Amino acid sequence: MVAYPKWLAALVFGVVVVYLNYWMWDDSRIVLGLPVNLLYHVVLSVCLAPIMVVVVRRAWPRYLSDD
Amino acid sequence: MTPVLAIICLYLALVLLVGFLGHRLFRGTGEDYFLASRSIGSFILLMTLFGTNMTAFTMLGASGEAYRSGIDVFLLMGSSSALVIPFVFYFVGTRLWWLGKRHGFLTQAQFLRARYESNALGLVLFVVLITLLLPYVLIGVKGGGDVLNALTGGPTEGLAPWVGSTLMCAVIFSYVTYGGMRSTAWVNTLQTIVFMTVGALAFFVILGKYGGLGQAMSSVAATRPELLVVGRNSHDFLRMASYLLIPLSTGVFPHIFSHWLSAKSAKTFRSAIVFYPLCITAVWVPSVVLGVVGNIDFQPPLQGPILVNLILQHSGGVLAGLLAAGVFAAIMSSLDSQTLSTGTMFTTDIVRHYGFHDRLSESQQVLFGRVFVMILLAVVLLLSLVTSRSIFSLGVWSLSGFAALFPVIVGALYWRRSTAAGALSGVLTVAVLWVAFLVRSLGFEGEYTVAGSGLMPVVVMFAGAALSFILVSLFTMPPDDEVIDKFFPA
Repeated sequence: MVAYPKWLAALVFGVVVVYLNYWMWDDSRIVLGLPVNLLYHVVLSVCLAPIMVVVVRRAWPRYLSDD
Repeated sequence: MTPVLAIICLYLALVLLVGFLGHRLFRGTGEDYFLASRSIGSFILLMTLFGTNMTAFTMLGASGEAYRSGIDVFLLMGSSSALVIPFVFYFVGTRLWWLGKRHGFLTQAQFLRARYESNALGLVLFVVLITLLLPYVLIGVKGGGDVLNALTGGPTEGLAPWVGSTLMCAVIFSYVTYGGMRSTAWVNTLQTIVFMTVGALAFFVILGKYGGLGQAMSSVAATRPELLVVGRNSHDFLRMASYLLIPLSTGVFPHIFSHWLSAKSAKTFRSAIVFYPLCITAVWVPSVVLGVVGNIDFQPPLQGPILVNLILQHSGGVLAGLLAAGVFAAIMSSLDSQTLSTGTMFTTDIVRHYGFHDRLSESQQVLFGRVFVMILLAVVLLLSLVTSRSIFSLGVWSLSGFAALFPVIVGALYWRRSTAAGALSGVLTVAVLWVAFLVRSLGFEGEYTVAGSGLMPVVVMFAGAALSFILVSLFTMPPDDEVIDKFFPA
């Protein structure tokens, strides 16, 4: 049986919730030259890289380690 | 010859050269032709996976949609891809690679046929995947023709769209059929570097003409403020949540499957998983911002893609040629992998599986694959001349079908109790619903959603496939332990 750590499910759920930033969709401010909603999602996308570093380092399935 | 045409010809010559260089390492076996002997390293895997996923849909479709509807296209397709696709690589890609290496799989139909011991499932999946892939290949072929037409003078004076489409198909056919996966991966790497560099160049050059990013956005805010916000009602929320399912299509694309299986080791995936969100951001943000900014100078109806209009207005001949080469690179980097995967599928799932394995030599089997690729490209070329649908809507339909098949692939990988009948019913449910929704959407003005609610058809197809897969599996005999032991790590 392939076992993934429980925090991984929480992490996936968490980033999906953060992705749906419903509370600010009608905010029309321009911040750092970008519409604030676009900037929010750019920052989110960039932050996903270090998040994925944690995933591949801390939750790499054991059966893959042999290959 | 204009600078634009000269640069495109030079670029295509370079692509052919790299493709032919890749052939020099060819080992003469089927596995080497289709999967480069599973030898692709981290950097090329990242570049080729990313390049393959970036299509005319990204460069032309996304900027076109941003021009029409604003920044929400980045939320719908850009950041959702940055979020979902790395997890698809992690959960699905590595696992399929592991199984592929152990059992020598080349295609998804081959994997599911073995996993469920069902020939019918393999055949149905082959037909469904090829049918879904057709509109996606069509996007690329159509996009190439449209771009060359617009860059050389537009509908009245420019080269007819079929010229660009045919040129692109001819070049792709040459290096894909000659060099196979290794050439395709090498060329994809070159193309990805080209379109990322050129995309950044276009972004800075064009925005520079508008006085910088802040100035350009302020101009848009003054005249079209609705383009800079996302609607905030239940329709928009459902639409946004629906689109989160679309990137799951990456887990079902036959061409991505082939690239996964070509990886040298499981660790090779790590770079792709980590850097994919950054690559997405680097390409999608310029594309979407330029589409929105296009509203400053261009009013609908447009002649040709907005990106091409901006390039022609704000850059000189040589720069326009470079930018055109970048658009070609983005389109071709997907088209070649899609083309190769159809050849792999035809050779593996039809020619080899249905009795020709012993009667034909390996090179004859590969020849069948090449002929199939040629026929497919010819059909798509003809379709590109008659279809009038926008690149974005064509793309969404194709991606929706693939995404809806995701539960079947995940079930095969992670659910021991799933059965052949369950998987078959899941695939057939997607096929029936996809055709039904497509027929309903014909003649529909704007984006089709279920009963106008904002819910995209992909949600219904996905839920239908998952439900039928689970229910039918639970009501049919569980698979043998022997099969389970083969497909699940201890």
